[in-house]
Amino acid sequence: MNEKEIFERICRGDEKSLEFLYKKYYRMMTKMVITNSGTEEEARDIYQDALIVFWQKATSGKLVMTAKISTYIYSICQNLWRKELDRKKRLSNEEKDLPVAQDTESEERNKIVAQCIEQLGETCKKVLMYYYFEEMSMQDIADKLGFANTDTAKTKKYKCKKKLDELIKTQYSERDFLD
Amino acid sequence: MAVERDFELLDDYLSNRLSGEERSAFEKKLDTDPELKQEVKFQQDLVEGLRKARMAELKSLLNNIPIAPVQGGQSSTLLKTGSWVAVTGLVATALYFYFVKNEATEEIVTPAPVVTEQPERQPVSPEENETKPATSETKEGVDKVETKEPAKASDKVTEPVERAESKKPKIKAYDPSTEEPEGAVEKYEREQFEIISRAFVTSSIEVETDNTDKKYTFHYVFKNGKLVLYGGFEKHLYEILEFISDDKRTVVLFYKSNYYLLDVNKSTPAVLSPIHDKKLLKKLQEYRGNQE
Repeated sequence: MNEKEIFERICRGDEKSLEFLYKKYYRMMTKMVITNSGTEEEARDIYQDALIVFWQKATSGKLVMTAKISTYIYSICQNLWRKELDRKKRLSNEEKDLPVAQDTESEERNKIVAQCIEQLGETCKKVLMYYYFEEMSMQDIADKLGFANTDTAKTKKYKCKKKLDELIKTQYSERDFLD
Repeated sequence: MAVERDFELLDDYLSNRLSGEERSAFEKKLDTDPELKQEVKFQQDLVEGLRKARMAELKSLLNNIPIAPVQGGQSSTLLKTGSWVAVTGLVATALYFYFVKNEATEEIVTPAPVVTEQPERQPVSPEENETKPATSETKEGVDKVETKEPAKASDKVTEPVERAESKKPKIKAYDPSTEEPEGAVEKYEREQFEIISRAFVTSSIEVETDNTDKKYTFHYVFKNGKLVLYGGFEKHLYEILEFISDDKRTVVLFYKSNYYLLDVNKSTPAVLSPIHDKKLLKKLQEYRGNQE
């Protein structure tokens, strides 16, 4: 597979190509973190996050690649790692003085949302994820999930979203989260 | 509950499908419509939840991909070898930042040019070289990743904090954008210059010295990935500079103020002859000067 091919596949949400990229640049990218005072685990984490950012940008069609994929991923890695170092620095400076305020209600809400997502069927989950995370086009979603056409994809998305809305709202109202 | 038309608009808003103009118009509307605002807040939680769930899925997908281990056991033997100076650390090549700044900053518009000459620049400070891989869009993406808290990340925060504290978050870099070989084959040293200019420097090569050989007095050979130096090397410090740029690798020996190119494919001992190419020498001196 050449660069262009890989990129095109990634844009269509092909996970196999993502795996391929992951392996291809694993050492190169993790090395940057490791040689900049990161542990191997941190390096892997940063690299994975960077790759996912890249993936998301590509699938949403917001990325026009004219440089090499590796250059792009590398710079994301750099940014993420720099931020992480900053965060750790801040954390070590402020740890004692400023305990992190716990927003239990919003935590609770997040938990409910996560549980409700889990209750959805596999296809529903995928449709919504592809739509909101990958920000894929309806055509790509239809292709990927084997729907007849974009209209089917749209309807499916609409219904799944409604279902999730209802699930969450029911839970929220049970716990008085809805005003 | 908002009307259906609003609902669709809201959905486009949440999934970043509105243009800048539409977006600000929608946000304006939000300010005047508390009910809609409330709904948006709810929907944002929902969409955020979906994104997090998907991210977790992708993370676990990546985590399950086996990665072949690096040739093991090298580092411990390395320490034993002892008589050489390991050159570690990345060297920030000006070129890298030059590229990244130009390509990545502006949504990556220009293809990476094949550069044969580089401006000499020192590594830039993190503030200056804040490489933005894309416009604010990417920033947004980056933030998204940052805000979520992977279970693992929180576990490991405490340990490396001290190290990080003493170290400024300065990212040294190399340029990974050299996967394919150049079209034209130039002179060997010139080629190495190309690689070196874009590569980062490290050294993971195990070195052995041998001054017992009568025939080889100032020679080298690569044996099973190990570098053997023939001659009276122990008395003096030498440095191995290994430049890695994707699949290309160049090894340079620094010894008594001379630089020697080492061909990693040499399987029979070859005599060490100093590098003459002035440009290459200059580059190498730059690198050595940059070592911390």
